[in-house]
Amino acid sequence: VDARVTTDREAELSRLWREQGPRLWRAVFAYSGDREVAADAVAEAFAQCLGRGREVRSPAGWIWRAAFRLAAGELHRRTRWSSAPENDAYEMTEPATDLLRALGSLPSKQRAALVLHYYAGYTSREAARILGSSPATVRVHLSQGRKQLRRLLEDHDE
Amino acid sequence: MSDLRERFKALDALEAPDLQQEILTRPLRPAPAPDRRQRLVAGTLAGLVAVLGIAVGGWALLRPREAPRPVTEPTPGVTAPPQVQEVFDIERFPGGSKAVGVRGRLIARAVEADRFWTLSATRRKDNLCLHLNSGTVCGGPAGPRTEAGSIGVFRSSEEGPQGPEVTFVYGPVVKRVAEVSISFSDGTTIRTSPISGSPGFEVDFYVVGVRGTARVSTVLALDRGGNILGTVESSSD
Repeated sequence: VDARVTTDREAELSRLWREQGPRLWRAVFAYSGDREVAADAVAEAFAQCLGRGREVRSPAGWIWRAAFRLAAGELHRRTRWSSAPENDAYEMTEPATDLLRALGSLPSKQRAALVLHYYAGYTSREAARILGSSPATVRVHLSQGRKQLRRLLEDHDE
Repeated sequence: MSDLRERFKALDALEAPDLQQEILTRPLRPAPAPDRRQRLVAGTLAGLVAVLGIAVGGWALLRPREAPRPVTEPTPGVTAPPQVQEVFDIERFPGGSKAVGVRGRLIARAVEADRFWTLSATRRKDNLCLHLNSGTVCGGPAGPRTEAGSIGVFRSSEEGPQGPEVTFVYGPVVKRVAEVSISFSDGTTIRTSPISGSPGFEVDFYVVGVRGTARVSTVLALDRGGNILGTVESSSD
């Protein structure tokens, strides 16, 4: 029985990972700017979701919400501990580097709203649910973040 | 809008790590998001608190008045002594454990609600580094080895979002140390046995975590016979 449960669990994980994993990791990485934070938050969110089994009705939404909250908590702690994240050398394309650099200049709430909307394709209502905020607040963050991000990217392009 | 969507497509070029094995093997932390049942309990509790508040308020307004009492002035310059309010349960990983998002090997972990702290160790060339969450301290070369330097003491603190200070006292100890005794300014003493660093490290580690405002006053390293191998007095925080 244990072996079958393990196999089912692994199959479920595999499917969930294929559907959500890489995209979620990229989104959390774009939000946090730190590969380790992204990997830890995503792995923990998946593990928590799997551990809860059928208790989680919508695993995809649950995982996104948990991963962003875990990453936000870690970023918050890092600020409190006054320690910069350790960025390993990581090869990225120039457009990705430019985008991440520009995102890194924005406040975290604007960053999260932009990533969820423009990269993950969530509406402001869905993004609000993930971020534990209201749709109106997310729309404000999107509007402000959009302006700033465009300006930063244009400055860099010039 | 579409220009930004195009810009964000650049993220698809990033190679995401395969975390499947890590997900299956990692020890779970407390839940990051409250479920419906928790929300219901929280809502019920909030309702009860509100009702209680109204009752107390009503009683305060309607109760018979007493004669005014003399006001006691606090003594200038005297404040309540700092206190250790709660000691964290520390999860220990003898020999260190691999964990994603943790630098080096995970030595210990403290968890509460949706927060956690990890103590991990890395060895780079001759330097032993201890990382408490993202806070990092290094004490080389490869930690203390001599009797005189049998214990290292590091301390990290933070203000909780709603509560008092959280303090972790941690460090490396030579392998002869059987117990570490940490005394705080309020008189509280916490004793802990070291966490084995083998096989990756030539030293062991200790860590205690407390909630409260107390300051560390003394840290003692003791051998099996209770003999003091090292003492660190805290001069200031």
